[in-house]
Amino acid sequence: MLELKINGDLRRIDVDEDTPLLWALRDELKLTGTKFGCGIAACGACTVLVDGEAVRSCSYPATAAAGKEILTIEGLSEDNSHPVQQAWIAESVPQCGYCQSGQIMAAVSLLKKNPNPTDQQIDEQMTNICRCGTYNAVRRAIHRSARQLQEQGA
Amino acid sequence: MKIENISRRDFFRKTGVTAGAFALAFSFPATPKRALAAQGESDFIATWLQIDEEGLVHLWIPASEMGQGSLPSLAQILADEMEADYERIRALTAPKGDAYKNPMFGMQATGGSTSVRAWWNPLREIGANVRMMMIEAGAQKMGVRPSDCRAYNHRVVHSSGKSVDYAEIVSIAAGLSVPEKVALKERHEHRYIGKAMPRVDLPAKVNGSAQFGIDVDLPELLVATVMTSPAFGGELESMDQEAAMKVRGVKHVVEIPNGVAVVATGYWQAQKGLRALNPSFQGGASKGMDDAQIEVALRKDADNGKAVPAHVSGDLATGRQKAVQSLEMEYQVPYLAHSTMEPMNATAWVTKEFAKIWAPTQAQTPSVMIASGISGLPPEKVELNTTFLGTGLGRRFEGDFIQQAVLISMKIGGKPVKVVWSREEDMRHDFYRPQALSRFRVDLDQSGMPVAWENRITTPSIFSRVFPGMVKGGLDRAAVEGAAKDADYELPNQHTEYVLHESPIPVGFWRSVGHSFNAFFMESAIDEAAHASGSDPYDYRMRVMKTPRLRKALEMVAEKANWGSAPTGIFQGIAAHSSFGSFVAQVVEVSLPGENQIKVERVVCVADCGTYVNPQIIQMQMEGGILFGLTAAAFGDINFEDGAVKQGNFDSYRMVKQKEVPTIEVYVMDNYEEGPGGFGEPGVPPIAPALTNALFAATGNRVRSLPLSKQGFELV
Repeated sequence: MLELKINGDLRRIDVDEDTPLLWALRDELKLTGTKFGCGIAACGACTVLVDGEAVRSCSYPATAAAGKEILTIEGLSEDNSHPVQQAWIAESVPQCGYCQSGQIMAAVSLLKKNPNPTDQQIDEQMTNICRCGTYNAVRRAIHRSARQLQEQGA
Repeated sequence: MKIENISRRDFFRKTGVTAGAFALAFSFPATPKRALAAQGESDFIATWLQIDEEGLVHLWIPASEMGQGSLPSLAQILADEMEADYERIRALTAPKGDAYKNPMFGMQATGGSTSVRAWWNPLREIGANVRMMMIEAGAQKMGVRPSDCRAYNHRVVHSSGKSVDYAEIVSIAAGLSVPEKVALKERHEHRYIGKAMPRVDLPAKVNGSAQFGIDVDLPELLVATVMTSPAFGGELESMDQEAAMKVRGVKHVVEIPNGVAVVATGYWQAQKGLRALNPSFQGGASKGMDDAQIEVALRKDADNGKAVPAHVSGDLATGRQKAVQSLEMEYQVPYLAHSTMEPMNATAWVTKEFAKIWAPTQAQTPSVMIASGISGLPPEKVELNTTFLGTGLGRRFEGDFIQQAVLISMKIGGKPVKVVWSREEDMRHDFYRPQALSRFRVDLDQSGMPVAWENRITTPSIFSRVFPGMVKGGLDRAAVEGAAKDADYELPNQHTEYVLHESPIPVGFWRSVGHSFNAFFMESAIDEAAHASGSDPYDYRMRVMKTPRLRKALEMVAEKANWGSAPTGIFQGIAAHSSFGSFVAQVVEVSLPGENQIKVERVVCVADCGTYVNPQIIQMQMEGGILFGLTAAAFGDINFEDGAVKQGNFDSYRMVKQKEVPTIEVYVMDNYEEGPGGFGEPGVPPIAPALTNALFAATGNRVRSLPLSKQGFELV
């Protein structure tokens, strides 16, 4: 039995040792907000935070997350009130929406480390693929989140 | 079209509507053909709109939502005409139902940038009916005359100022008959139409709750993953079933057409099972073929294949008498994969009594027919629920994944199963954007104007597989769209012909279809003609342009992009193309940061999509179309080895990422004189030629074959 702390809750699952965190989340725990896109850590649709670090859960063993804090899209807020979610709505980022859980989690991680990223830093850190081409909206939403987080901090 | 108040009908209550709710349904006049297809009433008449006792409006939207904004746009139309409070509408994709058949297709399906174009009038009429019925119900409730009342923001308001909320009059409206005639709103009365209202699907798409096909869950649901023959049409040769069955969680190994499925308790278990199964394959129509052979076969057809006229006007020889120069050009584009963000998947539960399907599909009617055909169940016993689509791009118009899910469910004893493909399976078993070769001879007179236009397009036919009845005399109109009679330029003595190239590689609809390559061919050829005649590419286009609306878009894009006045080190290219009822012009600005490096600095885009519902959705679709086309132009290339696709994942099939994305400015023209145009696809066609035209301006190097990566250029 593997014990995982996800979005503040302790959850116990019975999975093979090699099971990626993505499939533990999706198939065992029914947390389907985290998406499968490539299986080789190339697209970022499966991004979640483990102890605050963005990881690509399709290529991260569930066992490696034991004893750590896992945050998925479902755990960001109860009511879409997280500043990054709010910015994503304000900038109307999602089109099909499939990659957006991963984009949002990657942005949350980026903003934790760098509360006011430059365009160049966004370019370097945001390596997720969006097939709808929402990249410029993602960039605007990150800047908007940064402003809001600064106002909250002030 | 007929609208019915079905609030009190029995079958309707069975669909789960709460007692006392108001509901309208919509049906087509009964033709013998339709009546035959619709044995049960529920098949014939489908719910469109319900207002529950809290006054919440539930809308069933007759289009799949794959990012293109059909769901929010159509919801916006209904909400506006019925005078709903925007906060109190809930929109869902409609289930299977004859009444949801797209009037432009005659079947329930989403594609061809048709959703708003097809549903604009019917949905406005439905909304207006609701508004009128609410006014009548409200007047009854207040004991006043309907003619002294109006509807505004979920309330019926009497001239005295007193008013009632829609929630209070739902039960009265439920007893009313549908008005015989309704007046649609005037343009100045629209409160949502024409405005950048927030998409109704936004909230669910920022918290992980939006349900895509891959997220479907049912009690006792098993998950299957598949592997089919790498060479198209090959057969399963051997497998180690025993080894697969030993893997924890694996329940079944099932043969499917051209391959095998492993069914397990979850995706990871199924993938492990598939690895242990280690299937091998033999044969296949494409077996043994590689890029070089595919190229030889295409050229053979371009040289000697049977050419059929796509558009002929005037006479080439006569035109050539006036020519002072002649340009011979050959352009080419490769096969491309769709690579929808969400890999192919579908869920099916098929018993002897019913088939239930949940799928991210663009093609409801064909999917139902497939399920009916395999299961032997009549279509009315097939239920189909459309989830959100993690992009569609035309790939989800196909039924292969539906077929697999239905078959596997039947083979495992009628249990529910979700089929989920790996990314590799998805990339290697696509219906590819066909490769295409276009040869031109363009003759110009003294002033540089075309006097003879000869063009031969050689490419596989999509329609001969999907809708063979639409290919007449060997001509697939989709293969020549944008280059034949519908070309945007005045081309006297035009002779455009098509060679249907037979290939074992499956081809399908890929966002903007034939326009995706013909715009590249035409807009490159026109650019070459401009340069050959010593003209500015923009001025030249304005002289030769035939399509009035595209001319205006072109004029505006030149102005917005400051055409001809780029700063030092920035080079501009221009292209314009009409498709799917819309008119799009783009200017691309590039710089050359290093040897063979190309940076797209800015794209300026002007779109005339006629009357629009939501300008922000159109902007985003143009921007998305530009990046989709830029990805293809820069990197897109599907290659073959021994009849199989070499690429398997995003490491070998590159997508544009954040760092390569240019500044994009999109201007949506105000043109209310015209009806709505499409917007999901028209942003794609101009980007490739605008880019290569800019590259020519920068380097003098004319790229005639895509992608840029194959020509040694790196996008940075």
